[in-house]
Amino acid sequence: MRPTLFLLAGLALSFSVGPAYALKNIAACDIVAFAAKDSPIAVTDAQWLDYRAAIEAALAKGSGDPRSASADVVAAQTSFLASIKGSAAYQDYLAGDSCLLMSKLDASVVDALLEEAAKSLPERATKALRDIVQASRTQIDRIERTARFRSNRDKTLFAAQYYCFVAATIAAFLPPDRRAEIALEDFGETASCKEAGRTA
Amino acid sequence: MNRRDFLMSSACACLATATAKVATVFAQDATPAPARLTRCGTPLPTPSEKIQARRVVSALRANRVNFRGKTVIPVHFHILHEGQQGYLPDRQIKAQMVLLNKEYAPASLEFKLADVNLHENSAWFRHQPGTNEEIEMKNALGKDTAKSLNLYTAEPEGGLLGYATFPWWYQEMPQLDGVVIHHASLPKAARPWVQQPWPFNLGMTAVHEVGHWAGLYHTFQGGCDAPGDDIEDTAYEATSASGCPLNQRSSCPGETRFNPVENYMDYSDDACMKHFTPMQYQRIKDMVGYYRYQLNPLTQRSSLLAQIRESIE
Repeated sequence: MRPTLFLLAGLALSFSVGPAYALKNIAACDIVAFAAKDSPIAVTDAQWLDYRAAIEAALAKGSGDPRSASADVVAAQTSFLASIKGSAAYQDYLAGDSCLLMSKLDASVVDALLEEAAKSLPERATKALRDIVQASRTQIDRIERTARFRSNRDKTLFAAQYYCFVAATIAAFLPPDRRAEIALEDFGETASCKEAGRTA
Repeated sequence: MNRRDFLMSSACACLATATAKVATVFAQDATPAPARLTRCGTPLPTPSEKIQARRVVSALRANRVNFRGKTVIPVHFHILHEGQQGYLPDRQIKAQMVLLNKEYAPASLEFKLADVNLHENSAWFRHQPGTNEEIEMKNALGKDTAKSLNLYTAEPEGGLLGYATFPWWYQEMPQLDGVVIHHASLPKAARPWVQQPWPFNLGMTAVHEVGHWAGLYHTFQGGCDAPGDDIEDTAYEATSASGCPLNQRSSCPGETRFNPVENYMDYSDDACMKHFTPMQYQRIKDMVGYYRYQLNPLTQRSSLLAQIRESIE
């Protein structure tokens, strides 16, 4: 229990100043979806390289503090999707059945993928990646265990913000061939965007 | 391990350990015996708060600690609002306090309104847990969290009716301690909340969240997997309830009881929520008595409790 609580306590104390604490990004699920071989939206290798570099830079900038890194990670994810978001294909994707959200993360899969990602990362970046993933998971775990939601749909949509953030952050560091074969479903359980009530 | 597996594999182990654990002296045992309130013989989850809570219960029973006296809890009521939005009249606050006192009386808890304060702040009014806004709000407004309940009303975003802190989080982050509930969840509103339908306006969100504050999990915690919510007399429940689906057998294998949709720690509509179970009341007494010992002069002064804390932590 102690490490988790100390992490929470540390995060809590650091909340009072500094940038917004953003360990969540629901649109990040799209990033994982677009990496798949059969993705409805094509993403170039150059875009992926830029995305990976931006996430790596964000983690390095945080220098061990998930709070400092998280806002930049979300910014990198938003930037990745910015050029895609205006397209008709993206709107079709959002409205269609192939748009999915993470409703539950499989902890063992997350751990295994973190191991894979670590192979291509320096030790410091690996630690930063693990820390930010852990911080996001801890945060949503804490909320889910003590919150009352109006509905299961609200709960799913709320948790998806965190799970999508985690999945897309890890995906940035997977080799291209692995990234192409890993679907959102491989990270855990999914729900359709329509059923979950995702609007943007 | 699901419920059926649990029942089949652990029946013998339960009998074997039942007598042995009576004599366990927790403080001398590095591997503590299963607590009475846990579902006997089940494999423990990864090292976690649950294990710690079990150790606490086990130690309390081993030392024959029973919290019998009444604990009076001062309540600091913080009303966040944005203009008229979120403003609450005395009538609603009093009705909420009456409800809390009614439902927690069997746990020997009495809530006493210490003060009510209005705070106009849009960012704090509409916030999500885990954000800067939550931290800033609680740092600015929270009062004497060791010896009182800080109850915030706001309009939390993301479909949230409320959220709380567990008692075992207190030591590490006392400034965050308390309960946040949606302002439209209080009883006796003059007008219906703008979002319809809104079956959450009978005050049960505060009862639910104070349950967490007092150490209870959701009834669907862990789904069908043991030890569930760590309470023997609540049925295993695969997922949270919605609406009021009465008389539905649990979808968990081996669970013969109905889903506990009338329990305050489920997600049912307010009108559906009716009770805590006897073992939930016992857990509340144990968790509040142990972790929130500063609320009560008797538990605060108890040298036995201090020894138990030292042995566990």
